[in-house]
Amino acid sequence: MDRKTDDIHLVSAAQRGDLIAFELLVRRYGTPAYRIALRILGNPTDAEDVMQDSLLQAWQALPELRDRRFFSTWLYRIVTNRCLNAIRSRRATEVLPNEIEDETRRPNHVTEARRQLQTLRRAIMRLTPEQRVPFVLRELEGLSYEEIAEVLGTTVPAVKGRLHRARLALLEAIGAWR
Amino acid sequence: MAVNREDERRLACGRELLPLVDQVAEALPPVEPEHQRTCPHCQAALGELEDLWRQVRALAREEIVAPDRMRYVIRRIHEGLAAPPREVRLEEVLPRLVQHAMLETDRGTTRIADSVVARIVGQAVRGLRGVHLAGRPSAVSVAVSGGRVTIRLPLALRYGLGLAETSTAVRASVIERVEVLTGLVVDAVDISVEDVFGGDAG
Repeated sequence: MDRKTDDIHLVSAAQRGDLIAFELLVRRYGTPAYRIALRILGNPTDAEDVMQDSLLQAWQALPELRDRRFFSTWLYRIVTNRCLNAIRSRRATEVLPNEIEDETRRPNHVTEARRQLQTLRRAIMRLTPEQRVPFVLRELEGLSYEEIAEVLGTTVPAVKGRLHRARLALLEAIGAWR
Repeated sequence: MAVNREDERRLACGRELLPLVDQVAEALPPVEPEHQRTCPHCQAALGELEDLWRQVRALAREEIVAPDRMRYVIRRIHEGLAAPPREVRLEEVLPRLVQHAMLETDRGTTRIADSVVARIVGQAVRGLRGVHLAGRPSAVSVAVSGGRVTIRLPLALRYGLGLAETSTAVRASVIERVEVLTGLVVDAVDISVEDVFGGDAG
C-alpha cells in the first residue's frame, strides 16, 4: 500500500474517532510539521508551540477534511498559517528572530561548513515570510509545486512566482549578488 | 560576480539570472547549453549558484528531531482535551477510588460505581455540539451518597456560544441521562467553564 492510500485509510479511521489512526498520522507528519515551523520561525520554542497547536487543531477540524488524500498538505496549511500569525504578532517587538543558536560567535569550535550553513540559515530568516514559506516548502521539505499550491491555497504559477522572488532575495541576502 | 547595474537580474552577457537560478535549484537542463559552455559570466554565476544550492541541500538534509511535545499532543488528545469526535474512554474517566451509589429495593441492592456515572456523564457531554470536557477527563468528579449523586464537570465551550445557556443545556442533558440510565437522583451538576476553543481556528 503506498503512503497516500495508507493516509486515506488512516484519515477515515481517525475521522470516525480512531485515536490510534490519528496517532500514526501524528507520528508520520508531526516531525515535518515541526521542521517546517522551525524553519519558518527560526526558533524552537515558537516552532514547538505551532506544532502542538496545529496538531490539536487538526484533530478538532479533522471531520471537516473532505479530501482525505490531502491530509499532509492540509496539516501543513494549518502550520504555515499559524507561523504567519505568530510572525505577525511578534513583529512589533522583534525585528529578526535571532534565537537560532549563533555558531558564528564561537568561531573556534566551528567548521567552515557549519559556518556556511549558519550564514544560510540567517539569510533565509531575512526573506519576507511570504518568500520564506514557499522556499522552505520547496527547497528544504522538497514538496512539489502542486503540493505547495495546495498548502498556500493558490495556483502553481503563483507558487513559481513567489519561489523566483524568494530565490533572488536569498541571493541578495547572502550577499552573492552585489 | 559581474551583474549589470541597471537590471540586477541580468548578467554582463545580457542573459537573465533567473533561468540560471532555476536551472541550478531545480536541476534543469540548460536553456542555452552552447552559450553557457563558453560564457565566463554564466559560468561564474552557475559556479556560485551551485555552491549555494549545495549548502541549501545540506541544510535540507540536516536532521531535526521532533520534540517531546509530540507525545504531549498525543496524550492531550487521549485525555479528551481537544474536542475528540469520539466517546471519552472508560479508563480515562475512572476515578482512582471507586465509590458506589446504592439503589435499595425490596429484593436487594444495586451498587453503581461512580466511574459508571462519570462515563455516562462523558457520553452525555459528547452528544452535545460545541462542548467537550476540559482538563483531565478524570476531573469529572462524581460524589455519590446512597441513591444520590453530585457531579462536578469542567467544560470547554466552542467560542461564541453563550456560557449561561450552554451550561443550562449541558446540565439538563447530564441530569436526564444519568437519572434515566441509573435510576439515581442527581442533586447537582456543578459546571465550571475552563476553556474555549475554535476562536482562533485559522
